[in-house]
This record gives sequence, C-alpha cells and structure tokens, in this order.
Amino acid sequence: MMTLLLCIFFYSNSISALEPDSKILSKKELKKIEERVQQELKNKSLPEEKKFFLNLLAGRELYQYRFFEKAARYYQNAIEMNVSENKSEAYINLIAIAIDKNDKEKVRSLYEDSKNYFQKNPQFKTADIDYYFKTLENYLPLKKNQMPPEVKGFYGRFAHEENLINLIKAHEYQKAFSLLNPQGAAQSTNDFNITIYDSLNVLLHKKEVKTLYCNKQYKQYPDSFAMSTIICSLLNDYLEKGKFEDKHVKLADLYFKENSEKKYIYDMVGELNEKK
Amino acid sequence: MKRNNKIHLFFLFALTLLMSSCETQIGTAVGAAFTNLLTGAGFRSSSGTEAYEALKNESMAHSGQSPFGSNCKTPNDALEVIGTKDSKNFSAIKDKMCTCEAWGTCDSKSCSCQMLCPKNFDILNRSKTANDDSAENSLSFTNSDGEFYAKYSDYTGFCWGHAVITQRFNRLAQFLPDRPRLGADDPLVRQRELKSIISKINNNEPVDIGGYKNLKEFSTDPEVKELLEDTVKKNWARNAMSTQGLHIVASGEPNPVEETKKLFDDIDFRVKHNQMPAIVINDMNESSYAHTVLVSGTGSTDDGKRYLCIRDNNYAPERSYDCKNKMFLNADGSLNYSAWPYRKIGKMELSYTENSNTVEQISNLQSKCASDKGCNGLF
Repeated sequence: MMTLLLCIFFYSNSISALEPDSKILSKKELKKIEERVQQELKNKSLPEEKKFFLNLLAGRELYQYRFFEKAARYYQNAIEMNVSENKSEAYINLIAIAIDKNDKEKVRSLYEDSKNYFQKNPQFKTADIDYYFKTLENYLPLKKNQMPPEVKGFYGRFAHEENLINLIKAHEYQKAFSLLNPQGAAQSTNDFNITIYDSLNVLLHKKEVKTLYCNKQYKQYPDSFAMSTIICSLLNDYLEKGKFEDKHVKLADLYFKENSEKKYIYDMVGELNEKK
Repeated sequence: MKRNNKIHLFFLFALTLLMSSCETQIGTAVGAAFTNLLTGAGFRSSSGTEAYEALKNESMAHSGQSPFGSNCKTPNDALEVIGTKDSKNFSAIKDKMCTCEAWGTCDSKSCSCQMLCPKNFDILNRSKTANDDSAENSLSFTNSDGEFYAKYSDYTGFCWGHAVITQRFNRLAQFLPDRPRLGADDPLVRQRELKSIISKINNNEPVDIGGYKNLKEFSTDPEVKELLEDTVKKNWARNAMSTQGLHIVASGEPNPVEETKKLFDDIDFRVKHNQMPAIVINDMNESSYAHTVLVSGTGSTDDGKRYLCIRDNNYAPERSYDCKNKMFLNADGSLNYSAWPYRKIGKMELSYTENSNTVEQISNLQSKCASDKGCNGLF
C-alpha cells in the first residue's frame, strides 16, 4: 500500500514538473474559440485564402499563450492548404515547437519539407530564412566528418551549443574539444559549459589534467544534487583514485535516471571508469 | 455588391460573433485579433496587444484620480486625514493603519478588494521588486560566455531568455527566507519541486519560494542555477526561433524617427507602471547581431536628450544597475548605446512577448491576491 502511495506521489510530482497549460483562457473558452474557428474553416463559401489566414492566426494566437500542440495543428493545416500565400510563418513556428520539445527527428523532417517549399517558392526565401537554416544545420546531427556552417550573432550560441552536444552524443570527443577555448572555460560562469569542458578535458588528457574548473563551486556545495557537482565529484575521483567512488556513482545513477535528457554527459564521463 | 465582398462581410460578422461569445478580456481580444488580421493590422494586433492596450487606456483614464478621496494621493495621506478626525473609536482608526493598496497589509474588511487586488499594472509589484534592478534582485549568472568557443566569439547568447526569466521572477516571485526550503531532505523531491516552481514561472504564475532571501541567493544555489540555465536557454529558443523572433534579424534598417519617439513614450509608460520591459535591438550594419535587454528607467539629459536605462544581462548586475548603461535618442532619431560603442543601433522593438506575458501575469497575480486576501467572489 505504502509503495502504491509513494508511486502516486512521485508520479504526480513528476507530472507537476511538466509545464502547465496557460491559465489565460479557461478550457471552456478555448473550446468555444476553437469550435468557432473550426466552424469557419468548414464554411464552404469562405475563400481558401481566408481559411489559410484563419489557420495562421489561430496558430499564432495559440503559440503566444504556449498552447503549442494546438498551435501546431493549425500551422500544419496552413501548410497543407493549396494556396499561393507565404507559408514561412507556419514552417518556422512548427520548427520552433519541435525545438521546444527537443524533437530533433521532427525538426529534421520539417527542415527538409521547408527547404523543398522555399526551393519551389524562392520569392519567400529571405536572408533571415537562410540564417535560420544554417542554425538548424548546427542543431541537427550531421554525418561523420561533415562540418556545420558558421553561425554568428543572435543564433550563434544556440547553434554552437547544439553542435557541441551532437558531437558528444556521437562520441566525437576530440572534435568537440577542439571547438572550445581553454581561456574561455577558465572565465566561464556557466555550469553546463564548465562541466562539458572539464569532462572532455579529463576524458582526452586523463591524469595530465591539473585543474578542474568545476572545483570552485564543488568545494562550496559538495552535497548539491546538481549535474555540475555530481560530474565534478566523479572527475575528482578519477584524478585522485583512478576510479569512481560508489556513493558518487549511486548519486549519479539517481540523478541521470531522473534527468535522462542529460545522460549523454554521464555516458561520456562513464568511459573513464571503464577505460581506467 | 460583389459576391467576394459579401463573403468578406459575412466573415467579419462571424468573427464579431466569435468576439462577443468569449467570456474574458483575453477571449474578446483573441476574437479582435482575428478581425485585425483580416483588416491588415497584422502581428502587432495580437490578442495580447489588444488586451494590453485596454489595460493601458484604463490606467491612463484613471491617472490622477485618488481612490482615497479628493484630498489624498496615497494611503499615508489618507491615514493623516483619518488621524485628524475627532474619532471616539480609536480601534477603528487603528484598523485603518494598514496599507490599502495593491498587495497591501489591510484585510478586505478595512480596504476594498479593488484596492487590494486591482486588475491593473499595480498588481505586478507583488514583492516590491518589479522596479528593482539591484544585484539582489537579479540572476546570479550573466548571459555572456562569449569566449567559450575557440573559433567563434561573435554571438550574443541566450539574452532573450535571461531577460524574460529575470522579469518574471521580479514580478511573480515572493521570497520567504524564514520558511523552510522545499523537499529539503530528499534530493529527488527537492529537484521536482524546484522544477515545478520554474514551470509555474514559465507559465506566468505567482510563486512563493521558502528558504531564500532573494533571486540572487536562489539562483546561486547550484541545484537551482542549473535548472535556471536550462530554462533561460529554453525561453530563448521559444522566442528567438519563432517567426516573431526571426523577424528581428531580418533587417537593421532603423525605425522612422516618429516611431522611435512613440516607442520611447510607450517604454516610459511601462517603466512608470511596474513593468521594466524587455526590448530587442540589432546592429544597423549586421542585422543578425541582436540583443535583448530590460529597461529599468528613463530620463533626459540637461540638453533634453532622452535616454533609457538598460539592465544588460551581458554584464554582472553589479555593473548594470542604477542606469549605469544608457541608450540615447539623438535628434535625428538615431540611437547610441553606451555598451555598444563600436556599433550603430538599427532596429529597436519591444519584445513581442511583452504584452501577452504582462496581461497573463496581471490576471494570475490578481487571482492569487484575491485568494490570499479573502477577496474571491468580492469583486
């Protein structure tokens, strides 16, 4: 009985950690608005062009309040319509919704579809769309030995970080490390960046590594249930004893079971324990 | 009348029906946004903007009117007036010795719920932090990590996410240092509860955070910091990777002078009404170089040049408070930003998230206030 209660407690807790729906519109209101829009979309006397804009606007309004699933439906409708209007918004926001879910496969298929669309409709392909596509080419994993295009400015950090993650997931550690600047890592205050730098550095240079940048925070908060602390404890174990302490491994197992989206970092660091 | 025109009229009629069938201000505004799109007003007349403008108009219509009577401008003035009355019942006066304002200390018996929990911009100042740009009221980490990559340094980071998250905490969070921290003994429970707090913040809902003094202390804790770094990135992507976000890098062509002046007026209104808005700027010659910052104040120099005080997340908060960074509006309509001495500013816009987030936050804060103050059903 107690186990069942605990299961329910943890289940409800993990559910509550998901992002709730916006409260700006009640379910009843949302339903009413959607029914009206659907009614208009079924209206046979309404020109297709108007229906296209109606889909676009419904998508836009719902995106604004983070009703992403519903927004995606209207944008998808807009894409499927046989009209000559500019469909850029529908493609871009569908990609943005897939990025929000970190669904790289969906992003890839939308990217391919939108590339085809812009090839057939070059009048809508502006310079900013090119810039956006270059960013996606960093976001999506590439084939071995392919290099993604350089992305400067506004989308730069996102593009570089996603490319770095892809390389680590593909076990291309040397290539990933070559992207990083040691002086920049020394000055970094970003826990993700410091963790990645230290992990790659130890994995590639083993016991030659003299400084872990994560230690500054780790020494202050040694018991913290944060990825940076947990990985730092494993890296210290390796440098000091050549293997991980059991208590640190147990905590890491617990952490990465809960935060599976970051497990690729644990997998990378775990190679130290295997190789010794 | 041509058939097409008839269809168009019927369509607008249907949309008007849609508007009137909705129950709330936002519901109405959603309907209005549909009409606006078909009449050519486009993105800027989203339901968030429609609802925001309605709140702004209401606020301007009531400016100068005191809820405390003709002689009083503030609750303290009202208390002075009460104090001068020859009252026999001292306890009745004592009851009045509380603050009768948004989130005030009075209860709903001695102060009206409309005063305590107004559905206007006053409600945004829940913890008196909506206008505070100090380090204590800021995230402990900056947006910049510009030297981390070996080959590339010319990027601006997750500024949009950083600005929006800072703004949300400043408006929505109440830190309660004397209360215990959530799930303190179990790391998994603690992490799930922290995630839940951040999810609510992302959903524009008010949160109470026990065990921490302020945002700086909260975001220094590594368990929190890592979740906040994640959410800053996620929010950046939500905003920047959308069509509305992509639009900002499309061109570095500056806005016409009159439009920029109007934008300064609008920002000035927002700053004076607890909003510290997020703005997006880019480089005139390199439109993909863009940045999002918060505006914490406005002013003008002795020679009449207007400026905005910029709370720039590329700098530690200790270097970006109390108007240390300024953006000047020149007579010819061009803009200079003190932190961008070698760049010319092209476009400047209000973040497209500003109106919808503000409207949503006001609605959620008012509900929370009504619940806390026993005002449910008393409006």
